[in-house]
Amino acid sequence: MINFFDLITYGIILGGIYAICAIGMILIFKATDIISIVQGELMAVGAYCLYSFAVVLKWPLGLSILMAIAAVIILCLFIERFALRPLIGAPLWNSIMATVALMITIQAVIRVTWGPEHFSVPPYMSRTPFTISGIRLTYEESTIFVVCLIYVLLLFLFFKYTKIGKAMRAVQLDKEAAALMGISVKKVFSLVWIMNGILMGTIGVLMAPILGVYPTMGFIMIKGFIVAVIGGFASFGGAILAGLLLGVLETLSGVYISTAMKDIVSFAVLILVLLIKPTGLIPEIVTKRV
Amino acid sequence: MLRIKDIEVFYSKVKALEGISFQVPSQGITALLGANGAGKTTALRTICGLLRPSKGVILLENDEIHMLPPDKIVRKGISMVSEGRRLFSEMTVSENLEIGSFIRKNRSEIKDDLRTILGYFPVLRERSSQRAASLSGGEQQMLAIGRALMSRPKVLLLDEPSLGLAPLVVGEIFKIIKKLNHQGMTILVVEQNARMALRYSHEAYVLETGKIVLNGRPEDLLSNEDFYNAYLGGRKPIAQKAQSTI
Amino acid sequence: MSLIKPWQVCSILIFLLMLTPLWADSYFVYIFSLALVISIAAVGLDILMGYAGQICFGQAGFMALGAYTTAYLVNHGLSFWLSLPIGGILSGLAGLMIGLPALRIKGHYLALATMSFAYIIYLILLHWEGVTGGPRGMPALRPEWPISFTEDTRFFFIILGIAIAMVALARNIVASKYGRAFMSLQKDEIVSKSMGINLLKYKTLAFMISSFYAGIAGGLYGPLIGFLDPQSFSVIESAYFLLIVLLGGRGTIFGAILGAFIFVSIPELVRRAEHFQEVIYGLIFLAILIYMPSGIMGIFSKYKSLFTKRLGNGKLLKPLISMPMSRSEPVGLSDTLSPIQEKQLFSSAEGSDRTFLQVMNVTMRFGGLVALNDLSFKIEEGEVFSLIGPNGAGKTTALNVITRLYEPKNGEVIFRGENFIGVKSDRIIERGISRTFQNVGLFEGLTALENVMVGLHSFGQSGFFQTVVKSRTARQGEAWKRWRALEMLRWVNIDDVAFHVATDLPYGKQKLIGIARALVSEPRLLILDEPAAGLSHHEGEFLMELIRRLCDENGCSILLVEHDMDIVMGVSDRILVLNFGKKIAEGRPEQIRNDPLVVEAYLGEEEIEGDASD
Repeated sequence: MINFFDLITYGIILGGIYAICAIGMILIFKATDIISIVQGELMAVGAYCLYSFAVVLKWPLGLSILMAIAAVIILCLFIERFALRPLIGAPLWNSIMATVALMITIQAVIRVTWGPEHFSVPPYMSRTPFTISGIRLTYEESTIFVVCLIYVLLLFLFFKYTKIGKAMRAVQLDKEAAALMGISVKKVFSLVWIMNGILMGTIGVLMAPILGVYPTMGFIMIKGFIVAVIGGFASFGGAILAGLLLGVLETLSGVYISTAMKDIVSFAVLILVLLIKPTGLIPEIVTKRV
Repeated sequence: MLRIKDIEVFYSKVKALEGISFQVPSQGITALLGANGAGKTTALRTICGLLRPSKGVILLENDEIHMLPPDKIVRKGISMVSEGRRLFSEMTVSENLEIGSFIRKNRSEIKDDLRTILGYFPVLRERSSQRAASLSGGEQQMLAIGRALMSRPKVLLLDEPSLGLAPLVVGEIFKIIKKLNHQGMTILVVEQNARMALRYSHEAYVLETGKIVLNGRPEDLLSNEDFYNAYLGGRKPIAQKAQSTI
Repeated sequence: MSLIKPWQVCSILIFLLMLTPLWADSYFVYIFSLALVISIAAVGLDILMGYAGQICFGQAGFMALGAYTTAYLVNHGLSFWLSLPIGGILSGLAGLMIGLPALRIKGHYLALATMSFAYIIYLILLHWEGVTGGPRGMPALRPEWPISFTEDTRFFFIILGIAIAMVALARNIVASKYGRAFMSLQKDEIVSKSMGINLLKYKTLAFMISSFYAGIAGGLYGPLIGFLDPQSFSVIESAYFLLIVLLGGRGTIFGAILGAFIFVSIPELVRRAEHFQEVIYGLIFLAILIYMPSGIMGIFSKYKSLFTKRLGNGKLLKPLISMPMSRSEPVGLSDTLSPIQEKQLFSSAEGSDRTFLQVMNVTMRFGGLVALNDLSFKIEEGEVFSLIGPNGAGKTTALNVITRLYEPKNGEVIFRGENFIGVKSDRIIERGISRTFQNVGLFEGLTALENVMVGLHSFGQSGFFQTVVKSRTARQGEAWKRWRALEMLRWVNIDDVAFHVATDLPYGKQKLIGIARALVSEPRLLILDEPAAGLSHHEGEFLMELIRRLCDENGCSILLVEHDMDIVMGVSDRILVLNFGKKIAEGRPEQIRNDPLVVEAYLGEEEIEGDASD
């Protein structure tokens, strides 16, 4: 018997994942003016690497997770250095197309390296549900939620209190002025991509046991874009709020309407938002300033 | 201190500066004047590394700096206050000042400098946790200057500090500039408000369509007919409509 | 300049293609058929992306719409020859829907919005099993009437014929004012609007054309394969379309075809595991972006343009008839008058009130900043009126209020008796006001001549369909525009560079092209926004002469915004000085030059208070 609150909880957790993906996109966008369309592919690489390390090579779980995330970070550095940096002076059009090209390439590389089959990764912990004040959760779901929460917190602290974090905010606000402060904009670009790598690698690792591992798994991350748009592409708070909203909305339509419709609903929301209020639904006052 | 030799700069296909040469003597206030579009801002932006010259050399105490990127030039000791301030609007006053000290490492020295700078601009102390965007024009200009000072520069570049400010406030700002100069700062200021700039500088250069057409001490320029022409035009008019007005 | 004419090359290629079934086996026939089908969709996408500069990540989705619609109708008994266009039209309408929001969203947002659209189509195809057969797919049949086209070779000729027709239509579209209007969309919208181009109309039109082409391609794709399944129209396929357009070189119709042929033949050249080719696609894509952004055609056009499609490079016809100026009736002008006749009529003006442009009590605010403060002035007909003031005084704001790019908080702008409230910025040019821009704003990819022709965008009589089929009216109209544009370039002394790409020319010449573009519509009021900026002394003198000639010989009034005081003082009849959005002086040049308020505004105040320099 499906409990309404269970659905909400599930929706919140799903939303958390979407929000993290959106945060990665927003990070990159604010610093480099590029919207990263490869988020999904990055996540997929994380999942595939985890599979290879943990299931095929049978390395210890902790090591596999770290190495998988490291692999994604390295990939991100490659992307920044070799695909995007050469395009800095060129019109924005080229960078947009570049991320599309990357999406195609990475997906194809995945297919070549691992083949088209679905793989499965065993869950990290038991999936028996427990109950907290009437809400049913599994350990897995709560871990995902906690990890997302920790990341958001760390990011918040990073941007508010560390020197580098403030330097990054400066670059996001005004690249030229930041350069005049002695901040190396190139280094900030690399750093932003490293952070994106950490975020997306983690999501890949977290989602692998749940989604399974297959070549087109990255496409899910377009939800991250939807969340970012709804949230206004401006601040993390907006992304989080929007993520939670979308996650819940999707889960509910999945159950109450039909599973086929849940994706359609999300995309319809996107198109509606773009048509009516491209700057996002969340008013700026509500969101956390980062 | 700062020597600019035969600089040629292109800015989106137009030759913005042609054969510019001048000097900024140590511990002096030098002014770059000229009408709008004459190339003054281009000159400053070239010095601080935002633009690269196609010909010529810029020397800071015999160090060639014209090929360096802006973040390295800051480390050499040149700090720029951009036209229109370019503050980090969403950050607070104190965060802006803090970013100014990015290249420095010694925490206690930074703290001392912060105290000194807040001494120059007491109003900033009151507003230290306010967002930069909420400050008045004059306060923003002070913050911009303060931020530039936080890197302990040897040379301070100021691009149109009076832009958009009320005359009284402009006077205040220039007084502070004078004070800083007394304490040993070398200053190069670009200004459209020629009279104000001449009141405070030791030497001035006048630009017109990318070239230096006049230079000298303020007193000499003010009594020079050509100086006014550079601003208000002096060419002979071609045949105009008949004088009979309708 | 002996060019190999494009049409000669095309004829040879078409002839070779037609001979394919003779020398190739059925596999090659199939490959070429597929390449032609993909070409149709690619050409459509090139019009949208290469010319209009809009990113569309959904071409496969539009293709799917056409494919499934056509196949569905055929399966239910409707003739293929009806089903195909219906499929195309349906896709076109879907393109209209997507094009509407395109006005407000650009770049990345547009890419992802169109991607989402494509994904939704994909999901619908996948799940609406009753209609589409879901993942199992749907059969698609070849036409049986008037003769059976089931055989591969026969169907190949159908595809070839339709492809040729579609490409010819595409060429007509881009070599017309529509093509020029599309290219203007890539640049500053403000400039396009001032030339009378309605942005919404052209953006949605571009989308509609592109998706119509995709729909037709889809309708042919189904019967070619024999079977439709949603997997063929996934998002990746849309991404491949982007690659195809880019590979051949966007903005050249031929490039899209080239790209399609190469893309379809790669599997043949790289006879390996299927997935490797995708890696290669991706890497090629990246490499092109970084090293060869103009694609293959870009390389060709560097070496003597043998293969170019040049817009407006055709015959220059001195017209035997004089063309009416505009379709919609401008205020005060009769439709049937030719420009020259109309000018003479106007000179014998009725009434003594020659106030031409009146700006009354205009206040303009941007948030808390007051850019214009209760500004009022009049411009008489036939005078050179200059607007000057220090940086930030509000001069450009005033221009933008007059040309309706900004809506003032208070106040009115009255031009020749018509109040401009409610007039949109893209209708200003019809009223006889035209302008140049500080940053020139020439359209990239167009020659000097074509740029000037855009100035005549609002004038002429041919509608879309006439243009597409190159009717006599359309051809005459184009010839007339070409002639006028060349005349204009001659007038400003730069006709020697008429066929050069405008943005490659030196700055001084670009400025003159901008002026020619503004003049070609024979405006009553010409607004010049800092025309002397960046010009040499010599060029500045030429400009001064030009301005006076315009005014004295042609009766054109001029509103000049300028910083170069020599020019302002030398050429103006009257000058208005602005500071902080307010009028501080107005009068003849000698008065202004000696006015203490003006001197103060430019040089700063006289020393009054005793702030002694210590």
